[in-house]
Amino acid sequence: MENKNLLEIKDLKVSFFTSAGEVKAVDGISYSLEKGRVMGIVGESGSGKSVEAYSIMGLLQSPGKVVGGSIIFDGKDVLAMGEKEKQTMRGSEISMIFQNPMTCLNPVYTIGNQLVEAVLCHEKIPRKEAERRAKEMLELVGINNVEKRMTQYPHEFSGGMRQRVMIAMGLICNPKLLIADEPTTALDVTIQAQILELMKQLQQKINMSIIFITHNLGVVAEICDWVSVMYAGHIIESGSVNDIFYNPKHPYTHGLLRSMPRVDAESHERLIPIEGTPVDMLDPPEGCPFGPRCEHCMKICLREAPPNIRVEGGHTAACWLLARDCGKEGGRNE
Amino acid sequence: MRDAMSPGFGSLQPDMESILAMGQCPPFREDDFEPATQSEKETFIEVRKSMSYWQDAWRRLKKNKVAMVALGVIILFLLFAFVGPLFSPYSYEQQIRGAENLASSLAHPFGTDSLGRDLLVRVMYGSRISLAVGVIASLIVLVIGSIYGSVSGYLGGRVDDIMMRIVELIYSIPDVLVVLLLSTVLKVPLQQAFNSNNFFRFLSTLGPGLISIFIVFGMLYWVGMARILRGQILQLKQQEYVTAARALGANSSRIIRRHLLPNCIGQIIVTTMLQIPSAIFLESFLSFLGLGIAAPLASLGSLCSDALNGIYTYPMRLVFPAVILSILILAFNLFGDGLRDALDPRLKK
Amino acid sequence: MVKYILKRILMAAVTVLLIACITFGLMNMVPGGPFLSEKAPSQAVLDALNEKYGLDQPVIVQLKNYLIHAAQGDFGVSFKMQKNRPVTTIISELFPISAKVGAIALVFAVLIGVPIGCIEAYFRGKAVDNALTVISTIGIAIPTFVVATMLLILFGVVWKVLPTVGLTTWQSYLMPCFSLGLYPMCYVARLTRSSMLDAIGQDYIKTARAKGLPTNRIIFKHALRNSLIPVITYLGPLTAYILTGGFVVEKVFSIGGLGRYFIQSLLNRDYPLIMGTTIFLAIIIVTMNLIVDILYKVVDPRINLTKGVD
Repeated sequence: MENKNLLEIKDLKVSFFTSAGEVKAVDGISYSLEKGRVMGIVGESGSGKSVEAYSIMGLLQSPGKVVGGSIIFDGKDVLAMGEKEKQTMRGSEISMIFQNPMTCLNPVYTIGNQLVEAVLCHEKIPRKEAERRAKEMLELVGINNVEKRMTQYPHEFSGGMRQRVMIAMGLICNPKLLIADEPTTALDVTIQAQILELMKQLQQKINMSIIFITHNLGVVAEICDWVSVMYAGHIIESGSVNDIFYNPKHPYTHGLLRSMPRVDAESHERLIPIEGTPVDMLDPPEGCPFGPRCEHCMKICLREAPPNIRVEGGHTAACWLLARDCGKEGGRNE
Repeated sequence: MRDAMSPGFGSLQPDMESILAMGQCPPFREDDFEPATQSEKETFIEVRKSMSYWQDAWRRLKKNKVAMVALGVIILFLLFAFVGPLFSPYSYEQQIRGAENLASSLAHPFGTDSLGRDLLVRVMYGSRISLAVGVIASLIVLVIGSIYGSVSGYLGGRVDDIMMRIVELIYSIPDVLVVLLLSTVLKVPLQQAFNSNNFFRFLSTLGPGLISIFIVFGMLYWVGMARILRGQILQLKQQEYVTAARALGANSSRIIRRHLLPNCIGQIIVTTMLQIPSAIFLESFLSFLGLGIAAPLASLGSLCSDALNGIYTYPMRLVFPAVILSILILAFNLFGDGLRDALDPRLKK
Repeated sequence: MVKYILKRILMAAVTVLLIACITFGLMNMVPGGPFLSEKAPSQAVLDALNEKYGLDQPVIVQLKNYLIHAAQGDFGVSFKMQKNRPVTTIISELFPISAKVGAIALVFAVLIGVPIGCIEAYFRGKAVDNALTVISTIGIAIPTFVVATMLLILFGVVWKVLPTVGLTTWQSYLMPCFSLGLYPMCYVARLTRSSMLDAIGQDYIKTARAKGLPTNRIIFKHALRNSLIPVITYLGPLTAYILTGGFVVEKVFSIGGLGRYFIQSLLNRDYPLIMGTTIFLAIIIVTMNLIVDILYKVVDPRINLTKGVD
């Protein structure tokens, strides 16, 4: 079972050491990802979802630092790698695409130049060959008139087209894992749908794994197999798409779903926002980080951080409510 | 949404064994599963004190050691230039017979020049002139630049277009050349004006060089300030809160006073502050070339220029004003930088 | 592109014209007009001038005549400094001397300043960066004439290792060029550092890192080209600075270049020489600004020369 997992993260802890003190951006998260699966990581801004992705890539910049845990990618310990090894891994084995396609391409070089560069820094092949690959890749992501597009600069592309170029650049070396950090957030809704569709198709075609980071539950439902909900540096609930959407166990997940408009909602049904603001990560309180905003908050929630409790199958949630319900049935542990 | 999940997802489930360490939990208390009250929730979160813009800026400035040292140096210079001469037994134009060309001594710490004037007191007066030139010139820039820039930015459209064309044109005029020309050309007409009108007489002690600096600052140097302010206003104008204020029926003057100015004030202060060293720079440059301040007054630049003639025999005479001038400009630069970081943390790199 | 360049040349010409008019206007503020000084020139010269420039005619006609002559390369003759020698001859004689010092200083400023800025950005926050930043901050605060005179005192007077007067041997270029180039060098270094840091913080650097490019390639390919853009814009003001800074340096080191001569003509009120030199220097500065604008396009493809930055 171990070998089937492409990526395994255990108790990962990432902190930012600022002048004001240590900010625990990621505070002990664990998950594993099988080959060819799409995992969604959902959370509001500041919940640590991007930081976690950067640590996998080895792209954390000071003052951020991994302070504990392990990341095993394809049997290799990413945290133990040297800078050279990480460079070789980035782009060829794990790729990443980012939120804002408008600023992610270097404005002073042509698209072709930037694509070819991505190939050439990993493979020793003639430039001509790399150019052919780049053109193929552009066609694959649905860009027409490839010959001409290769010689154009990023500002001559629209946002959606640039994101396609980014995807092409990410996939050009056939990586095993693609990390997509809010790839559709900055795009128009119609373009969003196109990009999602494209990613879904490509994922099936090349059979790679994707970690899809977003704050948009709708996007998750669209593309993911498995979902982890992050809050204040913790994974507070994790399960299949069905579990999360139809049987959410954590009040925060509940809240997220209720604050999201639904097509099938009754006309008088109102969206219910989650009250309050996220905790101060500089000085996180003991207990459940969501406690103060939680409508079901109990006394223990303010004292003890809740453990992950299995609901059924792989579905887990970190909430004392589950323990209480178990307690009613007569036992703390299942 | 997918309607059916394929079975066999168990392998994807988070690794439970290591996380689910319930045994390590302390025993539960009786009331653990009672709902928490609102006040309990509130005490849970420490509320940080919120600070006003100025308190926050001052706190940031105080933390910046370099800027605080620079501020200290500037204050020392102000004392040196404005209070210092009171304690000197000599005046800046007093020629002491038999005390010409003295080296540093207890009576004359900086020595004396070829006319027997005490250099310490002359350097004090020179700093005073340099500081005054810096402050006055920046004030000129402040007034003209901020009015021009905010009018242009606020009105926008065609007016803004034309006003910015003018700024562009002025920008491309080599300023130093114009100062040099003005200081030469103004000499005669200014002299006449001084003589004919009592009101202008006090200006005549400053000399045409200094006055042309002020004129040039008034004519050319404000464009930088105007550009910055216009940009700022244009940007602010599009902010939601301004639109909101307008939607609520606030009139133009209220919008400018309540919303635009307070948000520009940091930029204005910083730009003015950084204008001071550049004015001191320009004045010393002119005076060094012999086109600035008129004798017997002295500025740091003209003191250096005077000392250049005797550089082979009395090099120290040049060192004192030159070093003081450099430290003065450095202090203003550093303090201005610190102020910028404190007032506008977004700009900090 | 061609259209844009033509338009820019036209604008530059307008600027030069404007400067010529301002200069002429200023000179006319002097009682007696631009060709008179307190000590009247000899009757013969006066007659010649009156005839040549039509001084008895209205100012606007005089201006027109002056501009027409100037456009043909005739800036009149010197009054005092080198009596009756054409201004153009004097300029063409003296400018090469100033230009040599200025060009060396300019190349020095850019070729040393840019790498220093890169090094600072590369080692951001480390001791190297801090030390270099302190040096460049100080370098910006010290006026050129202070640098020049301090060098003169140290190397010329105290240690007596470098020649202090004129430009005779290669050693005599060291102090003038260094003192002229120090300020722009430090400025360029600071500019490069901050724009480099700016570039490093951009998203496309994140992309380049995610692609797996080696650090030096990221710095030298992706960050440097973007951060050179502000440095290029500074080349215009830099030229102006070098030309005017030359006045001071030539004075301190007794170099008989155009700058020193210009200041002397200002002090002596040699009006035709002043006007001619001013217009000449203005043309150089404006031309440099024009070149900078065109260079811009080469480095930054985003700049649409007909519409400006998008």
